Amino acid sequence: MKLQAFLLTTLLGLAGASAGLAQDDAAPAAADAPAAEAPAGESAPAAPATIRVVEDLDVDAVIAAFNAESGTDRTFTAEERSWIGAGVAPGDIDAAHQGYVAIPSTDPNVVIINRNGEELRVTSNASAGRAPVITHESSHMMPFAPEVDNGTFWMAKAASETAKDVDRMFDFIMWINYIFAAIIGGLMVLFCVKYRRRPGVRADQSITHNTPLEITWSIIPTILVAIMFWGGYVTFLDLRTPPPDSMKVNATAYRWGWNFQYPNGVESPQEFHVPENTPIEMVMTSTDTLHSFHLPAYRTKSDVLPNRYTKVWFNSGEPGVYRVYCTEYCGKDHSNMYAKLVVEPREDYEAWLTKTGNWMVDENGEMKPLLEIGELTYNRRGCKSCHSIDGSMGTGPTFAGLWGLKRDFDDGSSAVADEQYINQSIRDPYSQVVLNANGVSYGKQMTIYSPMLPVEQINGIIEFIKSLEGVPRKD
Amino acid sequence: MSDAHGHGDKPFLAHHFEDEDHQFDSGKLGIWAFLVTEILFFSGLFCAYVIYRAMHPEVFTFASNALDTQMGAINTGVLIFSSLTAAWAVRNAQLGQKTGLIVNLSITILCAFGFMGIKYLEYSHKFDKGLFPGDKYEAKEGAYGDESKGNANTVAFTSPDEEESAEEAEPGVAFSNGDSAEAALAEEDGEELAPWNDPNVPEATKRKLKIFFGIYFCMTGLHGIHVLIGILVLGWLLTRAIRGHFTPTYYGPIDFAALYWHLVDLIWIYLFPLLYLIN
Amino acid sequence: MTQVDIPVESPVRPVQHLDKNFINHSKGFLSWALTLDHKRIGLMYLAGISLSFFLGGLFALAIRLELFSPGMQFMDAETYNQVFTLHGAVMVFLFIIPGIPAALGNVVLPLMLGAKDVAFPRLNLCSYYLWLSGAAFFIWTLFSNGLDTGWTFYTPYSTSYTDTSVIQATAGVFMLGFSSIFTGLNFLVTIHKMRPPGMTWHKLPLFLWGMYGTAIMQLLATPVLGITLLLLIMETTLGIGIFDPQKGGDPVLYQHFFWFYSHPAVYIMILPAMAVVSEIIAAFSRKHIFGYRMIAYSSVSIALLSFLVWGHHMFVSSESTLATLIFSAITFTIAIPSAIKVFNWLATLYKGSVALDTPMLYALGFMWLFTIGGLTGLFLAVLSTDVVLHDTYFVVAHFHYVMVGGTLFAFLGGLHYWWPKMTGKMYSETSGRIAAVTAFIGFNLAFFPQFIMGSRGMPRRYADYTADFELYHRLSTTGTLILGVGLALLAYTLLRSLFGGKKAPANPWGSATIEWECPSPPPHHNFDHPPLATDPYDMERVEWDEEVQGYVPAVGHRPTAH
Repeated sequence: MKLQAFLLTTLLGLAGASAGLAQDDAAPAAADAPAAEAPAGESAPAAPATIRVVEDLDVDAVIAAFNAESGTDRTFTAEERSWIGAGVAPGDIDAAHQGYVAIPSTDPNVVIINRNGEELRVTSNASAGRAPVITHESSHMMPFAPEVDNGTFWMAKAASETAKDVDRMFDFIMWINYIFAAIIGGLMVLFCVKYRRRPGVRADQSITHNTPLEITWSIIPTILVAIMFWGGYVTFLDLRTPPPDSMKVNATAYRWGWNFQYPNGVESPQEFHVPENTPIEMVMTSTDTLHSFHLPAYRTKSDVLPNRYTKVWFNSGEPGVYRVYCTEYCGKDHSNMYAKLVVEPREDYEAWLTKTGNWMVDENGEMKPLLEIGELTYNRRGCKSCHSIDGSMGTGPTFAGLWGLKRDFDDGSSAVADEQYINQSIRDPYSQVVLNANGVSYGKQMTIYSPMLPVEQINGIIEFIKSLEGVPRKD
Repeated sequence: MSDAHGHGDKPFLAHHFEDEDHQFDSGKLGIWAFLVTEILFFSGLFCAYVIYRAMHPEVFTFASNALDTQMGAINTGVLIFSSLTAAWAVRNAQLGQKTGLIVNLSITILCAFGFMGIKYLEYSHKFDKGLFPGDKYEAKEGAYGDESKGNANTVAFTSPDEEESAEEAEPGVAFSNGDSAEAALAEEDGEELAPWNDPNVPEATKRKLKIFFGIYFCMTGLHGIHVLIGILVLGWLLTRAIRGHFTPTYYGPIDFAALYWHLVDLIWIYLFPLLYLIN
Repeated sequence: MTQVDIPVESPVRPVQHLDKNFINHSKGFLSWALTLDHKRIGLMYLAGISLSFFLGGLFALAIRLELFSPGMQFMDAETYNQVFTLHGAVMVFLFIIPGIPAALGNVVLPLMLGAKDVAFPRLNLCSYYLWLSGAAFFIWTLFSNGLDTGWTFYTPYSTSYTDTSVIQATAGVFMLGFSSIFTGLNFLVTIHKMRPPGMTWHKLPLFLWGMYGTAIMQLLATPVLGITLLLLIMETTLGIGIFDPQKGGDPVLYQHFFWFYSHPAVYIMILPAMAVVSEIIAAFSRKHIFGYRMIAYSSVSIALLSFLVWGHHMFVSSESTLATLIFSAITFTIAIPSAIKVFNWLATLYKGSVALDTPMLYALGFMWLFTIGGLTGLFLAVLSTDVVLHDTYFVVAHFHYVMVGGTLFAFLGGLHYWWPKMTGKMYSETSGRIAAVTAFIGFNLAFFPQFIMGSRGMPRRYADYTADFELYHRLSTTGTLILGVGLALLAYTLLRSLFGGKKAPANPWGSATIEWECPSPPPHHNFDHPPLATDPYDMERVEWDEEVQGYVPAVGHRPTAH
């Protein structure tokens, strides 16, 4: 349905859009504004506010500035306060967060801004008639700052010895490319100029073939490709053969995120920490469609398949922060399916592992309240990439005001949103696919999380949804 | 349409051919090329068959019990006989025997109808027992014949790699909190195979039985479509034969259709043992 | 009908134009819709694929404008996914694969053979209508739920995770596949059985060698795509469980099936392009093609080897190490015949009499772009570098260099080359040249930066990207706009020639192949008698004639009355 709308409106207006793009890249954002405002209707405040935040981040000042510029007077919860400027505080700067400040909220006019205060970035679906809303996870996941600046023209900096081997082969082929391109292009130009058509000058018809020459130019490329093949194969074996003492980490890919599982049972969604100078062997599978684990800094990649295990390994090398991409197309948020690889000294890694392993437990070793577990689960498990909590419509229905609502399913039946309903929606989402406000089915979009979610987290989600009872919905 | 006819005295010689031999040779090459295409068309299915049979031999041997070998055998006989009459029709056409041509074409068509009739009986029998392709598959009691229970314990399911296959079927369980997933999957199976709940048959194998029927219906269904196309082509040739279009110098269409019919026959000759006779 | 025979008593000039030609031979909608004339079918194909190209081009433009800046500009991610999918599917299935064989090939191939038509004219028309039905299914897809699976329809996404119109689209591709098979079958038989007297296999013009290799691939590979898509439809509708892992199936099996077709399909796209370029380079160098046999044999060897390399699309899809080793090795062998062709074209230019007319500009553009595309293919055939480059923009750039830089440029070159023959009109050489150069510059600017961002890690099929790739994306979008301007100028040039163009002579370029011996445009039946074929690259056979503004048989090569 969206496609028709797109075809009919956007393509017809392409000329205008391209003219706008040529002037200034702010134009697209301006073009978004009417689309964003119109359907949001009376409830949406005016244009998104831009906040300029500078080096020394003062959370209270940010909130004050936010309220001043957006003309609102909202208060931030402790959790939300912790998100503001995540990663910008001294000692906590990493490549993933550098340069960006994320300000999440349930307000429709909350935006993400550049640390230099220059640009307004709206990463979520501003054109679909929704106000630009960014939640914590997706906003800080998206804008990775440049990974490494000191790579070569062609390649980002290699992070391991094997990666350097790959680069050597890359450079070798690139030099062959330069040489052949120069010869072919040079001769082409030379011949076209030197033998251009002139009156009275005829082509030399005696040259129809030259067997020794033809054999030569068949054999030389053959030798070159044989060298490439062999060199490539040897390094490929290195890329595919983990050392026997490597540390094993399991990874589960789902739409649209990664879940990393450590040998001691600790799980970490989206963030992948490893100790420095350690060979890491990944054993990966997918809970839904195909994905691909792409780690450009280590020059390695492997598809991740449902019902099958694939492996990839790398030597973590020096501390640093790197991107993990999904490179096998997997649907709507394929381009948001990042994970962050953090290579750090062993003691930091172990501290992180302990902290992460205990996320459901507070400092005293007590289980956190269910509601808090629910909220953390919502943020950690990727619920938030599809289910908003501010009432806006996403890939899935919003959690706002869901509790106690009558739900109509695409098979004609209906149910009331209670514990049973939520539990079943998480464990077996396709058994009851709900209709959106327009009466259109949400379809089979939901990831089957049940293999990953322990019962406390499901109960937590139920509590979390309960806590949002009565929040107005816009779907 | 008059474009195609340039030679006044030879009504079926197209204008762009020099003579009838030229036309016949071109047609012959064309039909052979087409048959190669057809073989490759089916090869995808055979390939899928080989892969899944190699992966789950016990599933295939067991599921094959549900097929009616007797009916399959009769159908094989019917098709082989129709191939004979098709070849005979070509000979009739070459010799200019109009009556023989009409009779042989008619028998071939009748055999094709007979084949489809038997196929209809087989399919409806399968559907009665809940053996549908794909998601609707829900095998009922006795779907795999009387001997299925005996076989289930002794012959079919003693395969050593069944545990392995059971393992690989559980997606994502190995990592965490598997209990809920297994429960969910088992529940799913219970729904699917409720009437056929022999506890000796591993769940993973039960789930895969429907792959066999997916492949069975795809292969025989596609073959059936080819038989139907054959009926249409042969029927059209029959009307032309009745109108006396074919002569000893112009019998290409009969020859080409017969070649096609032989291929349809040949494919069945492979399908029959591969699907029916593997236990 | 007007007599086409060359009169003996006026030995200099054969007939250049006819009052009655295939275009005005008969009138009315049905005379086109039910025509069995290969030339009319070819023109109908040309119209159809041009519209498809325009549609695919609009999608491309939308993609590039969206990617001008990071963040979402004027689409959401779902729409973007649909747009890139439809761009790929429309361009591949509706435009590039049928482009040269079905449109140019249909018009030219029988003429080049001196034949009156292809072997099976009815089948030819049937191919066209299959193409049209396939296109109609694509339109249906567009106006139902769209398509967001990527043009490859990978399972299980396409079977279980999308709500878009996969069934309509795959059914459309199925029909397009059979259209392609029937065209290939027709051409194979035509080349085998309808060669004129004197045309032995080694006197076959290289265009026909290329089409012959293409026909082999169409016949042997496309049915596998057909059955694969049929199984995909069965999987989607009934859930037979062959490709869906939730049902015990194997998604990698789908990839094997799909690429068993789609790798040869890559050569179905590029072989005809090479074939066109071989003709153009010889004609505009006014010189015998260099290494005729090597070019001819390399066409057939590319066709055969193309069946053995499909696994190189799955180096990182859990393929076994042994399989990757074998597929990588065979992939390199296919690089050799491709390289040989480029060297042979280069040698043809040497000591030629090179005229940089519009078709030649496209052919030279092809040579350069195909060289880049081929050389960068080496990175993807080498196992270690493929691991990092697989599914990144490097691959996107590589196959655009081969398919757009290669096939599209050759198609446009061929279109200009045979335009006078097809329509009887000459286009404006100046604006044709400007369009060619603009398109070449725009293309390079659009796709070269994609190599760099790809090798730096930018994955393909991303609706959004991080700021470090912004510069490359902006260059790329700018290049696309320039390319678009070039193509628009090209369309204007050609369409204008239809109304205001000069009448074309029978042989405007001085080529020695047979199709230039009949008037422009050809009469309904092409040739009354099959012409006698000699060496198709004996350029001395024709010479410039001021009066007709074209080439006529040289003294000593004038045909005698039949």
